[in-house]
Amino acid sequence: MSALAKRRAGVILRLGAVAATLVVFLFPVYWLVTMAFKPQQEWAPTEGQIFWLPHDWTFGNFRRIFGGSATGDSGLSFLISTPIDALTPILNSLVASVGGTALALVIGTSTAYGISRFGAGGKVLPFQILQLRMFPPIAIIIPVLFLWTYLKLFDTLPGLVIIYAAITFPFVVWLMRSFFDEVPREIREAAIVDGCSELGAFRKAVLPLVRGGLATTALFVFILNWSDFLIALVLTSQRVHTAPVFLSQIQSAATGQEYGSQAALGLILIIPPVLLSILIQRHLVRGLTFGAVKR
Amino acid sequence: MARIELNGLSKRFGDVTAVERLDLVIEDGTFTALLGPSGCGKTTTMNMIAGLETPSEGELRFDGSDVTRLPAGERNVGFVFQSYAIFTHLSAFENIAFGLRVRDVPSDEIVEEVHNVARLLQLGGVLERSVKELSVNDLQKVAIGRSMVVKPDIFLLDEPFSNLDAAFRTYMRAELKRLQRELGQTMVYVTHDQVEAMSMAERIAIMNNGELQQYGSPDEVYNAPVNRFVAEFVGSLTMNFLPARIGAVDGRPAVLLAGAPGAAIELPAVQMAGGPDGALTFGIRPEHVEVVDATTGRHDLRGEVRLIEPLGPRTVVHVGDGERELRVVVRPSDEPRIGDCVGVRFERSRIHLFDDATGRTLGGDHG
Repeated sequence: MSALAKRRAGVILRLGAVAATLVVFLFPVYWLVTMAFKPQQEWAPTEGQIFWLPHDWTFGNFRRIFGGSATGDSGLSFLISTPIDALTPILNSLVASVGGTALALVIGTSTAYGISRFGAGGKVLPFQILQLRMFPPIAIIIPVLFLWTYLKLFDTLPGLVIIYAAITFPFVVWLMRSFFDEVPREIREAAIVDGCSELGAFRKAVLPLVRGGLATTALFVFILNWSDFLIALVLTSQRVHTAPVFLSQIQSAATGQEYGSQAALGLILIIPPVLLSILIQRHLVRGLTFGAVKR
Repeated sequence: MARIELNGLSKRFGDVTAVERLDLVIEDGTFTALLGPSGCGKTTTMNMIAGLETPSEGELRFDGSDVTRLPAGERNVGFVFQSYAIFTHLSAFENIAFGLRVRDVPSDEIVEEVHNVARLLQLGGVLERSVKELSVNDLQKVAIGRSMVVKPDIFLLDEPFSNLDAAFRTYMRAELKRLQRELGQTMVYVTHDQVEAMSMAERIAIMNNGELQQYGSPDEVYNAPVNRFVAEFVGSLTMNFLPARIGAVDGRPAVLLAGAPGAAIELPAVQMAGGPDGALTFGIRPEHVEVVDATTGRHDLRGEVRLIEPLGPRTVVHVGDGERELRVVVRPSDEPRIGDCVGVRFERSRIHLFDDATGRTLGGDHG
């Protein structure tokens, strides 16, 4: 085989691998999107016919999850299922995820700065914080349920915010610590000599240098919280159900699992993380941030 | 402007003593260099003056008032870091303006002050640019500008030029000296480069192992080093050191170079006063050794030319006699050839004698 043919074969092989990977990863997204627009008859194969694309495109699934009826008329569908509304669960999810992320960032970032710059907690503390993540959340969720009931945090938004912050706190500390480690200590010292307080030096000189890292951490933690199912399932009841818990419960007596409505809600739930990633994409590229400090 | 007084200042990090009982007075308006090898405690000393480290012991005074525990931000010092510590999220202008913004100076004043500083440092063209686009040379100027703009009483510079290329470093040394003269500030400059210290500073404090070795003018530390460490550290060509002992020639005291019969150098008794009976080290700078004709008898030692290093205006000749090797500075026109047998003669008034046990200089007014 000539060198050119070899190289061409290599390229083809590589493209093939890329294509196969893309198919595997994008298939669920494709199925989710099409399912969201399929009427109930097309949710499952009928008479061996698989519906790769919806035959009769419909917004019925979206109407259904926001309190309307899937078929558009007010007739028979009421008998099939009681009306549901996903708006409150989505708002609950937003508040709990954003609140938990913000709380974890505030506490975690200050902890990370203390560890990185001042050696707070010695060698032990950072590992103790990491140990918090060495067991799966399900291992502690039942005791937490008792605790939350006792503290009257069960089925409340503050309860969710606190548990989300607590569970993601170790990630924030470890991620932010490595970003702070990269900032030369002279940055803080220069700000202090120039008249800043300790807090001022942190806010005006150090923090702006790690904003890329902060954005990355925020996105990561937000996605963790946003996609949580298990914790919300245990620690909430009807009142502050989050969107993922709500989604799992969309079903009706007549049809069982309502795949189309679930897909419609799933599609909506993808939007915030995607929007957030686009918004902070600029910061995800760390580029020259530290380039000018030492060469 | 301020006079800095260090009284018995010590700094320990755990078991490590970085600075040991340092006494130093830096007079108002002087340009002083803290010189020493890395790890000698000079940067720690600087950090204590700036307030970035709290002394373990001793006190620090600015113009007589105790500032030992005063927060860094209230000392009104400017600090230029070796790594520049430029805030990369701000423009060059905002970097320089940083200290003024912290002090809540009105905007129009900030603009004026920053432009004054930029003019002084010839930074006019780059003010509005992001620092990411600046050259290393301009970054260093921005760092200097940032500490200058708040008109500090004391200007501290920690090896500010070590990352610059050679040509710009020479230029910046001259610029800095000019700036210091114009502003009349007390300037303290940390460096491990003795050429830098000698060429810029009015006073040099030489440190080693956390202790002050000598404090004096460049002329003093060069011509009258108090110990072997200073003698070896200062001077662009390292001093020649030869083992020797005190003896006598014809009943008169003399220094006898080890292993060189007949190499006895008569010295005035005063220069050896206080010396021990036995061994000592004889030191002489390459500049103070002369190559002479080996046949005339004027020489102190004889040897063979082993190596010739032309350094432009002068040439360093290595002369060896099997026991030792000496570096000698000659004019390029007087260059011998490798393998020549030559004599060397020591300039009598330039000879230094060091106690082997303590390293201290013997005789003279500082023995």
